[in-house]
Amino acid sequence: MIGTAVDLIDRARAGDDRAWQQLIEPLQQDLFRLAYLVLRDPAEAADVQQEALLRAWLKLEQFDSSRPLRPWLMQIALNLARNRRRTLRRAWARVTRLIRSESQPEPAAGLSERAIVREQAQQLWRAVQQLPVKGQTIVYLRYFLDLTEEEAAAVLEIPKGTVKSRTSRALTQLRGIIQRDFVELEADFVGKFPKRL
Amino acid sequence: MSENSQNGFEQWLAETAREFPYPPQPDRSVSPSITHRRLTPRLAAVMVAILLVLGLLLVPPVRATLREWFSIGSVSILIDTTAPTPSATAVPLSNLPNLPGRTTLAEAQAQANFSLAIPDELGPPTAVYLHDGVGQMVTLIWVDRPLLLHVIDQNMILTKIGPQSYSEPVSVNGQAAYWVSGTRQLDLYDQYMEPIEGFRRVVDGPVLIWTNDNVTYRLESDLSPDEAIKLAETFILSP
Repeated sequence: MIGTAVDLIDRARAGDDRAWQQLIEPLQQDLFRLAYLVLRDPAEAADVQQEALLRAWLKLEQFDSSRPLRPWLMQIALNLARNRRRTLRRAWARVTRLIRSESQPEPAAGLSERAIVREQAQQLWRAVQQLPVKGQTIVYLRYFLDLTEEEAAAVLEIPKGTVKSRTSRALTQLRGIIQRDFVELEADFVGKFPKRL
Repeated sequence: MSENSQNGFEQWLAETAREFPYPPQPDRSVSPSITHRRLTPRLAAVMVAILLVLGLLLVPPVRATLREWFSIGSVSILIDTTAPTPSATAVPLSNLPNLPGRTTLAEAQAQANFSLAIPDELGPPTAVYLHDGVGQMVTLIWVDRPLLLHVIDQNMILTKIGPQSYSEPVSVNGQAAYWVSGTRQLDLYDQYMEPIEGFRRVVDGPVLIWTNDNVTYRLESDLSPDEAIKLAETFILSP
């Protein structure tokens, strides 16, 4: 069933399951991904995604349907993920990651090009994790999840100008981190954008 | 970074980030959808409130299916639904457990980086232990009461307990606290997730966890919740 977002929200408020499903279906993956980037654990991320959707649904009465739904849902998921990360404390996550990384097989010697790109993306994630939290968040929203500046501003409840300045600062810091600690990423960037250096 | 350089870096960043291999999303038995066609958000909120009022969420079998975290002060507790039931049985506190770092109360008070005031009504503890590692934890045992009290500084202690344990929020002197009960194996870890050696025990008595002045207290006893809270409040009133 097709409907405008406002119609769908009104119908979901009235208890229309299909309308709610139609609203959230395209957004579920982004919520999971955002939570995963923050929490670094798929099970925790799935919990956050579920809780964000449940909270959104319970708060649907209060939602201003003239606003876009995506930033609102992502804001709920981001807050839940941050709170959960604080509760979990980094050490516990570090240990679970350590256990998992120890149990994962080493990558095969001859990686396909696709596998190399994905490995680089993993390294990039590790580099982003060295940024301050605000910098991490803006990079996740803008580049990992492709949010526009307006959407990022809505998620973070900050002016668009602050998104710009925060992004610029994060990029400068990230560039320095990559130059210093991520030789392969640096080589990849330099190889792709030699004239811009 | 120059504008050109930043644009190039931004483009490279977006292209690389787009390839990030997100893990598959784990299945969840509870759908995020509205599970009942006639259930509206308002009605659901009312139902949740009613359930809370009725205390149904505190029924052990219901809570036992939840996988949850909670933190109080420097103590974080994971209820792990996959943890097996402890095979050993709890040793009563009247049989003094064999814990590391035995010392005297005076020495613990001198070494601890927090105030260690004991309410007069408890009298001197039977045994005192000081763990002085990444963080500090003083353990006091009164075998005749019987009581075991962990006093923990600001450094994190994490405990992982099994699905047979139940927790509920309570209040000590108006501050958030937790009452935990059920049989569980108690493992303590410091903030680097290093196990605090020698403290692994099976616990089957209730525990009250509360905080005061950046110090976290964990009290094992056979007291009722009200009695334990009353005792906890005497710690807060102590100098």
